[in-house]
Amino acid sequence: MDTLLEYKCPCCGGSIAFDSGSQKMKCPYCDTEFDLETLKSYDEALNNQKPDSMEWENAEGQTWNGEEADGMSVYVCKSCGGEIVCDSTTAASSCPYCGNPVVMTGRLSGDLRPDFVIPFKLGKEDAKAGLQRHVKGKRLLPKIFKDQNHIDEIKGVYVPFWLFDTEVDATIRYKATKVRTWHDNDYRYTETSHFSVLRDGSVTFDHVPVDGSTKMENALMESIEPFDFSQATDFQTAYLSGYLADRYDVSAEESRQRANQRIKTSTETLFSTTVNGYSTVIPENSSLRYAGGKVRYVLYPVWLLTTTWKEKRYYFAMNGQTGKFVGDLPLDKAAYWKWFGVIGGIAAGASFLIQLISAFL
Amino acid sequence: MKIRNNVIILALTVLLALPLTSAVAAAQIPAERQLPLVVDRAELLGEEEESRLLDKLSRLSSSMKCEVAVVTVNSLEGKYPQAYADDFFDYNGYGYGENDDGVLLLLSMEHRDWAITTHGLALKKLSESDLDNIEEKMLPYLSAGQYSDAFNAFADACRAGIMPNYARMIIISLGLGVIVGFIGVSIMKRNLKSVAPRNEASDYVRKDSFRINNRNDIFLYRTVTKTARPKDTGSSSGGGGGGSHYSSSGRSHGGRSGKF
Repeated sequence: MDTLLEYKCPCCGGSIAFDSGSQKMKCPYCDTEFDLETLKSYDEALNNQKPDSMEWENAEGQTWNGEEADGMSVYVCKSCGGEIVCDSTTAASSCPYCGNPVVMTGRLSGDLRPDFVIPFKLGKEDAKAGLQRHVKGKRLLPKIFKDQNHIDEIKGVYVPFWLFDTEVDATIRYKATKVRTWHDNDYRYTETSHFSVLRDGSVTFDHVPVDGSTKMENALMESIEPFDFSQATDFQTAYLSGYLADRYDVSAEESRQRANQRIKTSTETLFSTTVNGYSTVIPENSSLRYAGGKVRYVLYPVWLLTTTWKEKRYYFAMNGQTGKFVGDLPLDKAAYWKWFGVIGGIAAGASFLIQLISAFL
Repeated sequence: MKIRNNVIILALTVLLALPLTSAVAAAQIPAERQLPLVVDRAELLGEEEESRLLDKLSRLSSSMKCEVAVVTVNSLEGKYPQAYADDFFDYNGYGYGENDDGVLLLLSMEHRDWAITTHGLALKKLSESDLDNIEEKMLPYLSAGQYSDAFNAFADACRAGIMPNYARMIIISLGLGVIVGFIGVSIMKRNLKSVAPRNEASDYVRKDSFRINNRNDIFLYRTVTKTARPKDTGSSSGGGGGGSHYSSSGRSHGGRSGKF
């Protein structure tokens, strides 16, 4: 009875057999020796590995009731295909996405009705002030851009978001090492101890938003996060008056992937903060199980500003709740080289002076 | 009583004599230079060569505020080349200004020895690599017996080592300027960008919901590698002054010596 159990070597992946003669585990490929107990618990950890499961309940699926739908209009932009919902008292004169005059109106029907809405807390003047603050102190911005008259359009838009709530159970296994060095007269020794580190735990995420409109650039919407959901109220059509509302055209199912990815990244970051005291830590395997996943449909308030410079359109967005203002700005090449010269010149001059002084001291 | 007086006198004599010995040594170093910048006792240079070299060394010495001298002798009178050069420099009052800044090249024809001694500013400025450069420029001429060329090469190499290297300063400054300028505008340019995808959801973690239920750190195995340690030779010396020693007068000198 030479072999009894078979394990994979944690070092090289080869098969290790237990040698009953020597009562030791030794990998025949890389000559690493192991305790039997160690291998057993490592093997158990490997076998306990669970597959990812990221199940979500479907959105509750409340639809507009007939009375509400009567008071709403749908505008469809012929130029870019954007669809805007607003109450019938609001006249949309142009598409907030591409600026083209809106040409077709239709009636609301069959869509999902939002579960919650965060009402606008900041107005048009705040959005203008936001842009002023945004361009302030930006030395490489073309002068003409700082001119307020340059804003083409300011629109308050309720942007559709899918909100994902879930509790995550995660089991993450890491390969970790501790390194110890010492030396005697002739040699420097480096001892590397290898560990298999397992963390099993849970964390809950509330209201992770995913932009439900293809017309809104995802990165732009993620840049004005976070919204404070505690101020959300049940949806009433009254909130829409005076503002435009975008209609979702990305389904909850399609948005899931983005939410899953963001939740996974954050979970893994949180878990890795609990692996301490090692020289290197490499995630080897992670398994996430989402439980009680819930999806909801909400409208979040966003101010959209567009300006044109050198025949290129620039989009800005302001969080209509917190006032966070984002939007990439154009670069003034002349200013870029001017500041390069000024900063570089000062540095070169100072360096020359210091060298000169030290040469004559 | 008499004995006691004698003891006191003896003690006083010893006490007085102590500072005198160093005072004597100091007094032997003249304030003014006693000899010209070119002393050709071995008669290696023609008359015209000698006067041209003297001219060059005088101009160089006053413009650098650091004397450059060349001495040739037939015999070292039993001294080591380095010690002979140091003493020749000290006791003949070589050196510019109060600090006696200067560098002296000694050639002895007896055993074809050469030695360079530095003091003051020259000691501070001429690093090991500068001395390497001097040796490299001058030695081929010395070995070939072209003494005038060797001394000129020596003078030029000394100048390169002692005078500030403006070209290098400018290149370093410009390089630094470009790097700092680029970093500066890059920061300004980054200010223009505020739109980026967020790949995490840390804002949405429910407070205090994060729990670790099971933590298990299993030790697997250990590996030990060994590498030979470099042997400590202890021969490294500071770069700036190129290492220095004390001459018989007690002053510190730098330099080096060899055969040609």
